[in-house]
Amino acid sequence: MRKTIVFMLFLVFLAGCSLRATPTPTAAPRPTPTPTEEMRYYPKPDASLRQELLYRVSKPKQYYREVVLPDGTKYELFGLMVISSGKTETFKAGNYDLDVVWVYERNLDAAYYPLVVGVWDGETYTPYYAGYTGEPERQAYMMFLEEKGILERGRKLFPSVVDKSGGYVSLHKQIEWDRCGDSTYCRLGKYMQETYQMDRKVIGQYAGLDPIPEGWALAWMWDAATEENADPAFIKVDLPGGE
Amino acid sequence: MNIKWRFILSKGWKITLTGLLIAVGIVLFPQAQCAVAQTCDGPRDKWCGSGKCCGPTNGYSAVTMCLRSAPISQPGVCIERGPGFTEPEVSVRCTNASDCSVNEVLGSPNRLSGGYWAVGACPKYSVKAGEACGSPDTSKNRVRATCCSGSSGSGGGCTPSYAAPTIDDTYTVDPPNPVVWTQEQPPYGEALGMTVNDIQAHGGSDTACQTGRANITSLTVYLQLRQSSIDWIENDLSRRYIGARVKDTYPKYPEWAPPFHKYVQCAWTPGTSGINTADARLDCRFFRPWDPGYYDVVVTACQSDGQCTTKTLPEPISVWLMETRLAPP
Repeated sequence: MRKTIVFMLFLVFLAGCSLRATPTPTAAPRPTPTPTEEMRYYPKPDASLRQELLYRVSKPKQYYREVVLPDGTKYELFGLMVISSGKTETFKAGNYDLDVVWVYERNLDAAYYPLVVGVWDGETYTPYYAGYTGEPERQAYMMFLEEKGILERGRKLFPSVVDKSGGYVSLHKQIEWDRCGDSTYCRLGKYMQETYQMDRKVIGQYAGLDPIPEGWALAWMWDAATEENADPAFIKVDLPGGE
Repeated sequence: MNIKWRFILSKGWKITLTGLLIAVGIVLFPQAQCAVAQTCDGPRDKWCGSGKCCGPTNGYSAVTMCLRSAPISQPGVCIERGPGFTEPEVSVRCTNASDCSVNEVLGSPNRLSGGYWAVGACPKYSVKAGEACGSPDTSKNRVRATCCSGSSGSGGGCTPSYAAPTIDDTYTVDPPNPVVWTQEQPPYGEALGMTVNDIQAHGGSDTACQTGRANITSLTVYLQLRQSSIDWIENDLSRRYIGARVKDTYPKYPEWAPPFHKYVQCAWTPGTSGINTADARLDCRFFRPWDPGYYDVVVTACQSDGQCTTKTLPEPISVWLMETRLAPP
């Protein structure tokens, strides 16, 4: 009997190891945006389209991944899939002129928001589509997207933030835009995060469960599913409706 | 009935502890769980081999696209996407009564063929500026498709067995009619030598499980002056030119071409392409032929399971002696 008691105490000790209290976060609370006028939000996808998305697109696994190349180099990334609504728009965000496409994201629910297609920072134009092969010039870029049908309704687009392990992307610290660099891409990413604090919601797959503030756009580089890089059956989602 | 509550209460903690131990045992050992549920003694389980049950599987991954991580003007990595990567796996079922192989695919894509599931792979892992990732190769990364132990592992008792690698009979030599080192005539200059090219080897097929072919891991070549040529130099030639002898030693392995030589680029390249794939090729191996005669081309190819094949190619290289250049005896 004594042995049984000792064994049970050992089991309790083992259980205690896994139940150790997690450290209390010590980071200062993040300031929430405090606009001077009443905060406005983007509309949610309409109910029938939301149902369609939840039915047709399966709930994603977590967006964080590690990729290890054969030479041992490790990359960390957050990557998601969105579906183009086919609707494009241009709006201003701080000092940037954004070309955006409105996209649907099947996450824990279903969200509808703008994805940055290209940015004019007053001096240069930065295309966000990784497959664009031409000069960084807005008109040529837009024609390229139009000719290839990259933004057409239903096409799968894949925004991601990627860096070598130890860089500005990590599971723990998420996206450290301050360490990203001085490119327009990095500066716009930082502006969006400082203004709207949406990174955590996107990465946590609950953008859209909470309302999405007007003015925000997902400013990550993205690739698109095309005949050149994808199994033809997985390039598009057949979305009902459209404008 | 008279229940002895006092006895039960006095032993209560013992009963609780025993129950707890059994619960821990069942949770920690799926095999025990299997045995308790009496679900691991059918033909389907026996098909899986020892220590495995035929149960539900988590499904299978499938690479359906290869995405570039950075704009095409910059270097980047290719990210595999599809079920199992950022979406749930493709669900499958094993409903055969006598085995535990996957026989029904419930989702898309269907990559089941001959008892194997092809996960697929991107053609490249990293890309230079200007390079695209390409579309996934849907025949790569084949795994045995079973529900054994609920895993996607190698149940079913089929161990791949590969045939030996094969080497093609053909090759090319440049120049087509090489002459003895230092005897070349313009426009080649004083010394040209020769390169052996287009030697091809192929991984052996899996004859047991039909999983495809083994990968070639190395491909090498050496030259051997034929005995008939050695005899000719030592007997016939030495009678016509006093002191003629075999100058080189054999076997003769590839050499580095001298600086500014026509074939110097061969020194900068590994010569092999397709290593670690099922088909490999060897080019641009440079030799200085010091002796005239027939040189046998001997090729060795090794593959991923450790098997090697050495083959003397049927056609030897003929290295010519230009006798007009020799000083009179």
